[in-house]
Amino acid sequence: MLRLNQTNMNKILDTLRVMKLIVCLLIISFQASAVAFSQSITLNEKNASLESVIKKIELQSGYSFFYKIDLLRKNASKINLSVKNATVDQALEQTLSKQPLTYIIVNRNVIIKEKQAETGEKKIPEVKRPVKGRVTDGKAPLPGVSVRIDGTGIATMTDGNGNFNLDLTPGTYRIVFSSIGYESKRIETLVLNDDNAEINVVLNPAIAQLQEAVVVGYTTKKASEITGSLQTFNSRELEGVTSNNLISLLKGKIAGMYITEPSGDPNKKASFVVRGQGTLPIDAANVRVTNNLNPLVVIDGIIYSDVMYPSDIVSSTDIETVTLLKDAASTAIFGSRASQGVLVITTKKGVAGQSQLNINSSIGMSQRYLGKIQFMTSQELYDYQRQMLLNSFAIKTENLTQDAYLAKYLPPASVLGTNTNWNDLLYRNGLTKTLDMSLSGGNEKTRYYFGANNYHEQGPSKGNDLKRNSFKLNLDHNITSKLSFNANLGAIFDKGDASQVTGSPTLLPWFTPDNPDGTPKKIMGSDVLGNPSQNPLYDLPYNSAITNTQQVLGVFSAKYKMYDWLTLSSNNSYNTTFITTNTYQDRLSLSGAANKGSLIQRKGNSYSFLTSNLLTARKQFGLHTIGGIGGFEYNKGGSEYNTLAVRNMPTGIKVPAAASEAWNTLSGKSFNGEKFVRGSYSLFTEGNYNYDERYFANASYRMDYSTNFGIDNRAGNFYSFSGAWLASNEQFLRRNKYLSNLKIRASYGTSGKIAGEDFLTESFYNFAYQYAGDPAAIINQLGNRQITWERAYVTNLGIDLGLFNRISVSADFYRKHNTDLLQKVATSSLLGVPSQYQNIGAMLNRGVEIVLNSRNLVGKFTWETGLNLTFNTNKVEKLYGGQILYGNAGIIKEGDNIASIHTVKWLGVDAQTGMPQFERLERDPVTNAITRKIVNTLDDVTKGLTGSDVNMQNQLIGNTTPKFYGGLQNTFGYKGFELSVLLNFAGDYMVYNNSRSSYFASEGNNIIKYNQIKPAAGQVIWQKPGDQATEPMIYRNRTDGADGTSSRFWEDASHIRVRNVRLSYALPTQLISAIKLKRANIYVSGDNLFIFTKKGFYGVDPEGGLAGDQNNYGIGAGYGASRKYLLGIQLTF
Amino acid sequence: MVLFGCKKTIDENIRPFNDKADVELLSTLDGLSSATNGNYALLVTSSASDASYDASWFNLSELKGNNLYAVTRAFPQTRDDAYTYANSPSQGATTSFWRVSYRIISGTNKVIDAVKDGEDAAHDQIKGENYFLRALAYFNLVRIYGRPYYQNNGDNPAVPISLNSLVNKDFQPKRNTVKEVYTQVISDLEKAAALMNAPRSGNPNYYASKEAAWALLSRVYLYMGGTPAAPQNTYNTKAAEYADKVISSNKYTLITGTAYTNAFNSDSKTNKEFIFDFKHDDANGNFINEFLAPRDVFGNPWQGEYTASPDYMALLNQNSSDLRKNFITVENDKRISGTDKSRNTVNKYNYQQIFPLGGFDFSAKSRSGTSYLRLAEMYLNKAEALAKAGNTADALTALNMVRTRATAPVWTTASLETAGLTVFQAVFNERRLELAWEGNSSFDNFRNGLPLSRSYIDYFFSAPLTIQPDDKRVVYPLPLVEIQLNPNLQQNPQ
Repeated sequence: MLRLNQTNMNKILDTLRVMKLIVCLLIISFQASAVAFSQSITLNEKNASLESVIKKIELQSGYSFFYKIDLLRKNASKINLSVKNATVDQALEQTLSKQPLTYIIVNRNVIIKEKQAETGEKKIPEVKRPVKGRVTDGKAPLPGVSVRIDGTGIATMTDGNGNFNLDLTPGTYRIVFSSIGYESKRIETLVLNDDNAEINVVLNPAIAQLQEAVVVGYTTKKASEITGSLQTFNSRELEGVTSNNLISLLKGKIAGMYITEPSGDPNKKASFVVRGQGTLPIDAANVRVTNNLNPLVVIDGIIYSDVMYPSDIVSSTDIETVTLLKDAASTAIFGSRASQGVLVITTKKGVAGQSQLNINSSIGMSQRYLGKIQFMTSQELYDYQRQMLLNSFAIKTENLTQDAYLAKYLPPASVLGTNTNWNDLLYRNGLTKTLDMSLSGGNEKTRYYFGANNYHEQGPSKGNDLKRNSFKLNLDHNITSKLSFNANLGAIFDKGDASQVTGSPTLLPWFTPDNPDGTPKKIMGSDVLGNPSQNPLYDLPYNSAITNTQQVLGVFSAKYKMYDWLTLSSNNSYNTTFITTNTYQDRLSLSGAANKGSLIQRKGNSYSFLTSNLLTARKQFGLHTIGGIGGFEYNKGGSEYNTLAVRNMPTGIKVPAAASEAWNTLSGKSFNGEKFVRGSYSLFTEGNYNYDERYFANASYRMDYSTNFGIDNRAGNFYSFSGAWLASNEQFLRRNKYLSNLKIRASYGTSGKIAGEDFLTESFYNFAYQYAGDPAAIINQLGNRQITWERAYVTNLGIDLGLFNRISVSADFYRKHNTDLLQKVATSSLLGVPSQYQNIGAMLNRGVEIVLNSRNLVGKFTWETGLNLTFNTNKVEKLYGGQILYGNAGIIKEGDNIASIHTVKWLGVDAQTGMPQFERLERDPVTNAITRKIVNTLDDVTKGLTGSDVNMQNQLIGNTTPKFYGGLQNTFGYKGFELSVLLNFAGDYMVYNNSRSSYFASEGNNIIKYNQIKPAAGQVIWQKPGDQATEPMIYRNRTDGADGTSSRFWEDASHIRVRNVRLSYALPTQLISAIKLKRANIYVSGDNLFIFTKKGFYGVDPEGGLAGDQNNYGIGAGYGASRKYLLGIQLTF
Repeated sequence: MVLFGCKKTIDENIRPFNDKADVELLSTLDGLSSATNGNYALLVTSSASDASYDASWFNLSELKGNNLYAVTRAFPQTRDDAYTYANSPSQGATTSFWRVSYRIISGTNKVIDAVKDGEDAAHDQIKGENYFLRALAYFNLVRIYGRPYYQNNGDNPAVPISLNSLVNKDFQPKRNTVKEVYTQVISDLEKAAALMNAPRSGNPNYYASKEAAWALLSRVYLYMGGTPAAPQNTYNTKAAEYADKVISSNKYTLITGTAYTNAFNSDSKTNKEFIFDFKHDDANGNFINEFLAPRDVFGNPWQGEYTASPDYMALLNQNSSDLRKNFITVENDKRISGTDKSRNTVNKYNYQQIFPLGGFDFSAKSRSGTSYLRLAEMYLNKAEALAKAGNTADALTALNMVRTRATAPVWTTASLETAGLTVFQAVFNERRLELAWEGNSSFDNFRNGLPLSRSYIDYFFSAPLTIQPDDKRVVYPLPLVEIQLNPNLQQNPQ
């Protein structure tokens, strides 16, 4: 029963009235402003009537105008006006400034009305005084800035040099300066009858740039329209660290991407994972399946599904913007390859106007960073060995007197005359040089960008080197006003020498590499145990491991604008890469002697063709904006390689023809080679809608059909839904002084990950076998007709907040559920192959990402802060057989973090005996209760135990990936100076310091063999009963496993790294304009300057192992990221 | 239209380059030949998860015998499992051996099913070779997992027989009996012998041949021939018959002199005595030296956990002129506990150690072939079968062929009497001397109802070991994982 009382009835009637009004408004606005989406107004009017100007603004703006037509028609003024890309507000301001009219804007409705009658006093004309001023962005003048006197119609614009003039009667005024992309600024000024001082204003770039365009893959959206989770960087924001690798540039700046650089070798690329590992390790023996954790790379709208690292295909100097798409709302449109995120890159393009030449160059050096490690001198090591030998003698005399014992195991005292610092000999100050140039320009019809880049980095390890040359040409041509054409050509040439010196700084300090006459020694000598040491520098002039990469890329696109709201475009790309690796060992070198010189040459080629065809629509109906795309793609790619190995070669001739023998080192053969091919096609669509820039909705769908998957399961479907509410555009918040932006986003969707190589669907004979010299084929794969994509189901909630026009905060909460993870599953041998790939595993990643930007100080002295912070937790939900063996991390079970570490627990040192202590868990067979016992040898931990009782001894001690990580950047500016300091940090994780067993050994024989490091603060070696030591007594021939694998060498790697410090100075415009320079910056920059680590970390660099690689440790005493110092210059002509 | 074209391209035109689908490969003679070579390759190829067949086979067969002596704990420890009769269902070599055996069987099933009968001599030869390989795989399986034939009249469980190339996940057969497997092996070998009429050129001993099928038949019947106390002479007669067929084919000769002492450490291709062996080369080295040779290619002590046993040396040293002494090198091994560190290293298979792959892999693989069937065994099969059947004279003739070749004194009825040996015992001892480290020792004891005894102590045993032929440890447990995947498999008692 429904009973209506009067109040309810009134409410309903009210509602109906409102609805009617809305419908009317909709119809009106549909008729009035069914125009293309465009808010910027460009007018060039001379002696125009007011009516015609207003009509033009109305047409261009898409706003609805309400006015009495007589107000305009009766106005006889002729308007002279020139605005370009102005806002509605600016255009109206200028048009009406000298008219008795004013306007208000409400929700895209413009109402024009008469000005209030002015008061009597003000009618008395007063003498106007000129007020001059200049607007800059702190460095360069800003033209076209709207300068408006608040509360009046008086306004003007700055000219090309940022100057403006106003005539004002004396009094106090509030002047408002506004320009697109910059924050508006109000200043109070007193206009006097005397000469007025020049008003100089600095506008700051707006941080909550809701109008800024963001390239999100297939489309470009206004930032306000984004419903997903993403983070964008422009080329200026990438400045800082010197590297040719984009990923290294993002480190410390990007949230949600864990980046690790565990090597100082410039040829080794940073590895990275977006929002946690979402795939399982695959048996490395099967090359068909790869463990790629990297996000998908998309450049200028082209998917490069086979490219692992963006730097493989684009030079970072040519990059205009980089956007990381993190959640399904943004990635689902990329379908089966996007579950690890998508990196969308746009390259630089020419801009119509005067041509511009940019030259950037820097020079500097890279050094090895040794952290807290200090190696002993000859004297120190000698004394240390002596102490160790006295301990050993006390345990076992070997029937010798103490003196005889020492004489036997100590080197002669004469060694103390030599003290070689091996670190200094093996490492160098590497040279880093960069030079890049770009020339861009063009006109309305044709625009061009040409970039050339030369990069040369020497690693600190001698012999280690990388050279890169790249070229890029980007041409845009408008054939007609509707049809345009783009050609984007690029080439990259890399030459990397991966060779490094073979020794480590743990060589004994009394060895020398050279004979007294300066010739190098082959064998430098032996330790007292008779182990010879080769000269690690001997091979350096002879051997090399050089990789030459040639990458050629071409993209040809055409765009046809069928209607204002509908565009048809076609992108066609072909890229090909040639890689040649020559590993040469000269017959005169130590390592090449056995083969009398050898060469392994590997040549590979890969190619990919993609055609991507898109229909893009966008139309606005009053407050409603509807947009969408529909697309079709076809991709075919492949790769091929072959390798040959030869030996017995004359010295220095590094070609196969010079060899006299085949070398059967490639699985018993002197050659091998394989060839792969794959193909896919896709259909995809996306629709988006927004109401009044307040409510946003977006949905996408993609179908991928690929050779990668089961013949019965070749089509994969992916979708997403997302929405956002831009609360700050609501009436009640629009005028809020403090809140400049408030947006809430939510999304859900799916994406996938392909398995790597193709054709897992069929049972295959493979030919990589032989019998008695004849070719042989073996079934090595049992087809799985159902095999399919690994899937990710991602939920994301985000909030964007802008405060005081100074602070912006974004927070994202995500839940990424990866299912159908591929695992090798055992099958009964009766099927002929022992295992098969099946979609079995599942994993869950959850996390929070926070990005904060703040302009703490504006004005003469500026200070900006950027902070990002990411938390991620991982849980393995389902595994074949409930557990997997995961390299050094031990056994991972369902419920564990994939990066968790399980090992025997180290319980320190027995204060009375100096013996190591380990924890043994014993289970009562009846009650299952666990008791913890201390044992003194590693073997005793598992002694007498079987099965799960053995596994139980490997206890959870931590994770190899950080629970949280992030970065903090502070930028200070004063006049032309700018200082930026970037810190990055990672917390709550561990790395295994595998060098400690050699350079900080408890085993005495290692102390005899290797140079040792001095104990760091907090490390105490046991010497006598009662010592509260952290390290056991040192002695020879120990069997207690003190240096074995236990939690002892897993160290807390939490750290803060001073990633980059950069001081730059922009030369004053007056100074440089004389030599036709538009910009001249000089800077000094330092990378990896210092690392703050926890007390419990004793290695060189706490950087974690390669992401997702369970077999690599962090850096113990190894070759960490190098410390770089550079001096650079940036010139714009 | 465009979409249809793309779909067609992807489904039909984009095919892998490195692989070929089974139906495609097996449709041509050349493809069948590659697939057959693949089945041979499985005898010597190790993959990441499975040890090579020849290594597992040596491990499971020879290490249970008494011709070896453990110097130290092996690395990996799975190499001790058979030697110590620990018979671990998860840690030993059993899993690899089972898996690769059935890969060979599946591979042969594929080819056998793909070749129609009576197509031509070339096709028949290929089919015959696959029958031979399938028989070899089943015969080795039944010896590892099934009890000796004489026990319970062959009704003990052996291994499941799979003969179909189109099995799927639902194929979960029970174990067949020892007798059923022997019947299958004989049936395969008889077909093999009948089909192989177009031998490969040059009669290479590392491919199957008619004679190889006969030779294996001789051994199979010998294993069915009962104990000396209760001989099954129908089978013994067959064993002798097939041995004679091989001998009288005149394709093989007993190598003599220094050629003989180097017969195993030279290229097996040239060995005139081999009827069938597994060929090893750079790509597929022979792992046997990792058990026997105590040093890597650099000469450093490494692996080589086993030496010739004291029992064996005692038997060998009975006759100072025995050529087979040349297979042994006496040297020093620090790892031997005790004052006498001398070891009798078996250098029989030390042909061209393979330079370690990738530079620093401490492997001591060699290129020696794995001897599986050779002429000397045929004489010994014949001698044993005849001895059991009571034909002493002919048994001694056959036995003395082998004795003479090794420059050992011939046995006569008189000398046997002096030595207090029966003809069977003499044949049995000779078999041990001649076929040592070829995977026969434990089977020869158990199938004759004899205990396996080691009258010595070593790294593992502090008292001499004796295993009775009815001990449950005589046979290996089935791999645990296989029982999990096929619950119809019944485990051997442990």
